[in-house]
Amino acid sequence: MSANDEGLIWERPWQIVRADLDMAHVFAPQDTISFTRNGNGYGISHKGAAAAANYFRDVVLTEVPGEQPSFDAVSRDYPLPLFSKHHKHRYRTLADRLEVFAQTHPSVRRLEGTIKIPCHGFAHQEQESGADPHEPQQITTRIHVYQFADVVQDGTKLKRLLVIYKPFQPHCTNGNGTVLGYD
Amino acid sequence: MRHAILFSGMSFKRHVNGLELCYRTLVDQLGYAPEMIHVLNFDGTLHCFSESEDEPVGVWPGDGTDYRMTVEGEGNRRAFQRALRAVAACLKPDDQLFINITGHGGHRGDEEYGPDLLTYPFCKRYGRDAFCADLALLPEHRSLVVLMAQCFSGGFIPAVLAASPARQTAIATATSEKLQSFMQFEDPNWDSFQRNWMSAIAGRTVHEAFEYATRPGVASPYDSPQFGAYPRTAREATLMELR
Repeated sequence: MSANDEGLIWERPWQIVRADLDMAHVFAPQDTISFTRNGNGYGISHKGAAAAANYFRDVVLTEVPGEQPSFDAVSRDYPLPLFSKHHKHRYRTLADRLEVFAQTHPSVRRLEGTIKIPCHGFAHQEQESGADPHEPQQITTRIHVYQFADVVQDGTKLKRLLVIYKPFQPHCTNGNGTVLGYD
Repeated sequence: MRHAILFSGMSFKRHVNGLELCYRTLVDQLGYAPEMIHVLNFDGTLHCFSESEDEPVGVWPGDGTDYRMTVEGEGNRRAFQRALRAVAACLKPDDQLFINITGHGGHRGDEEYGPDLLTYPFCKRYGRDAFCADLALLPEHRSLVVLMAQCFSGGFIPAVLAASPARQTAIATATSEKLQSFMQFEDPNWDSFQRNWMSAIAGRTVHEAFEYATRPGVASPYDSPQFGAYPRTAREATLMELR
């Protein structure tokens, strides 16, 4: 059972392993992000191939107090193996469950803030799509960041799961979405 | 006979507006019988996802009058299957079915799964393959026309063409498989592509409506509209009554 009672530790490297398509050019799989103290909140530091660092430059996530449920509240299908193409179906199912969890548990402890996600990250995406040439539209996007202890098995070690969730919000251009990673 | 299913899952206000535009175009300009139009939206009412559960429905921004469409079911797979069964029960070989999907779409990023519809409640995913499996249960009919306005909708095109039991199938989407669709930035009451296509369809073929909706100055530069038809002659289909 995931106790998730060790407190939340944000200031460590988190490896992104999967992301919904409209977030993937900002939180690219294989990239590493970390959260660093910035005044009363946290900034996002980005190390990876994507040109995402600029998108996070002025971002401040605030800590939202709340309950800290065990991972059992989300799923009983864990510990999860490290992400690979053989296990992507399990991670996809987890993303489905996490979205319902996030919508039905609004008072879970988390980081929360606003980032801007461009409608496309690279020129080839625009060319392949057939869209008229345009500067990327910056989509203001609210994100919630959760973590759960002891969810991913790496040998004998249990890793923390990182969840970046884009909540469904009226007046927003886009829908919801999920990014998953671990420490 | 002509049948229609208008669907939006986790609707915002602009999606409800789009369904009403579609309904009025079908009834007022194309002569559809209202009882042949199945409207599925959000929680089974005219409401949409909003900050407040008490937010009034209000009036349709198209002309400031009350909404006329009657919502008969929620915006989810179960209700869509029920509507398909109702259509299938009276679908004749020479009939046409028009499906307009709007609302939100998602994409987990795996090409083998393709895009999803975000449905009611909790944005539950109604995947492309499940959607097409449901569509494939319809009996053979003359024509299927699909208009999709949600994000990543272009990823439905090959699967819909393959699954369709219609002798002619045409599908127009607001985007490619990998990009998002957008509201009209100058008037956020509407989704850009859906509004433009619906505004053009009366008196035109489905492909002519697509060409109109993608003209520079009409189309949103952020959308990436796509069109597919099988056989190729399906692009000449109209939503008008056969004479």
